[in-house]
Amino acid sequence: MILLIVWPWLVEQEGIHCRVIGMAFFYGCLALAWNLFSLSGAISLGHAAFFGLGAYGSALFCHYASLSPYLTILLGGLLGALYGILWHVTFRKLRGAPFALATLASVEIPKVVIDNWEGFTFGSLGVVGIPELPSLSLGSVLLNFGKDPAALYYLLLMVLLFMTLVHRYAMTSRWGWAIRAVREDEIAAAALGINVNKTRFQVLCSSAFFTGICGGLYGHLIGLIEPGLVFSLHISAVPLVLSMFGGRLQWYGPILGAFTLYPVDQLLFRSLLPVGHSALYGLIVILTLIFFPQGMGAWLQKHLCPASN
Amino acid sequence: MAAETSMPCLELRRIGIGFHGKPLLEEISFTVSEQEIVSFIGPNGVGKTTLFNIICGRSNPTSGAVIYRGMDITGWSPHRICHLGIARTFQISRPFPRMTVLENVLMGIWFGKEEQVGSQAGRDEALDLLNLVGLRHKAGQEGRDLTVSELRRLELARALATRPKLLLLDEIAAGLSPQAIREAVVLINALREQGLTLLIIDHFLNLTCQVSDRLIALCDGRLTASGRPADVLNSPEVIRAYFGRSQN
Repeated sequence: MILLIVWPWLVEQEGIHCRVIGMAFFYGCLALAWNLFSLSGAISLGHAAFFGLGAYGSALFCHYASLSPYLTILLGGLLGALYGILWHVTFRKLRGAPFALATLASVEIPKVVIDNWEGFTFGSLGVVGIPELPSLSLGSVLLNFGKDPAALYYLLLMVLLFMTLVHRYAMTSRWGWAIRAVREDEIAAAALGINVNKTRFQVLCSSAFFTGICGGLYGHLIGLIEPGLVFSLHISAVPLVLSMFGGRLQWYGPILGAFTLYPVDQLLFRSLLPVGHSALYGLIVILTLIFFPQGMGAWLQKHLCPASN
Repeated sequence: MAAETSMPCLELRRIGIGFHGKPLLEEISFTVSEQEIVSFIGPNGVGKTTLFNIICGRSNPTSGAVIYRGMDITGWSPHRICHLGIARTFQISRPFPRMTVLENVLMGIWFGKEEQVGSQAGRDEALDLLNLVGLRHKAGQEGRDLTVSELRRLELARALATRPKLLLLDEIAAGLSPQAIREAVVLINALREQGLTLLIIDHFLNLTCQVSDRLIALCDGRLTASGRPADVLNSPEVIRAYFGRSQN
């Protein structure tokens, strides 16, 4: 943690190392948001829907209503949560592979609508010129997120810490125990008084909300969004891969995945194999699933802290 | 043995259910008094477990009504029925495999009733229940590591953790040793003394006859006999269902 706090002072703030770790925080947030839902035992292949709706919601609210990005990011999260409610109502009876496929297919609906509603969403051209996050002043310190990479780094670190607390709460609180019981056996959970439907609803909407927040944040970080980018399979797959790699059932698992895979991919694979680095990424995922099916977090916990198992 | 009260603990009115267009249960009606122990017998596949599923809200009947202490609970969700005070064990044990035995029981204590139970009080209660079923020494072991006999006991402890008034035991003696079955008989009688009403499904007629006030026999989806254990076991319908011929 100390290393993460002092990192911008150890490396060049404008340089790639600071940016990569900052983006690892962002992908850590995305993975934590995805994993919230996965804690209930469901595997989603369609979180890009929440991400894209969050990104477009925030960008369009900014564009048409000239609201503060901090507010529009929250509205983007709410838009994601609304789509989560629709998922819950529509896919309530589905489990396992049919559920995963339904989530994958559901990304196409908002994507096609946004792609074709050119008058409102600018269609496949995307939204450009999305405003940067406005500066904040903390006493005498001015945090200029648009111009100061270190300020942005610390903002993303704060968001990651908040998401980690939410994720940890969803694992260790009594609500977390209900989620865990639903994951392990929902019939037994219901027979013991757990409202399975409500628990799944709460966890899905929370996950959709935070994924929407990530989408909104992404638009303001990058400055432009287009349907092919924010509704892509890549956006759905990345948090899944990071969580699987780090360990879905450890509170720190998705963060471990983001801190390991993303920097390795960006700093090592990309420079070694500028064209085929994704293939190496894919290979690592396959090897993880074969040799560490519970993720690296579970493996490390088993070997470094056997007493905690 | 059953306590005399004006309102039955449980009443099933003309319950019917079918799967894929084929009726499984038809016109099942009976009442159970407070603190009564009633066992269900019948060939495999006759619908005994389905009847438990209907009472506990896991399956919805196509006709009829389930009345619990004067309240129509037909079609209620399982967690609401649990909060009312109806708990069950499963024919095939359903532990939470990656939770410890203690955590499995804690789930019942924490969520079985709507009121909150503190963490330490919950743990103490869970350990008492594990003591009752003889699993205290396994408290730290994961559910997936238990033997069949231990799983049965865990199921019972977990159901009791919800503090039920009506307890449904599905094949509680399956896989138990003769000694464990004798202990189960003692435990079931002790539970009744504590004020519980029990419904039991078990193929061990030795156990069901020892503990039950009444047997209900199901055959071909219908209730064919109901009464004292000796009377039901000697009824021509039951003999025909079990042996394919009448007593004569």
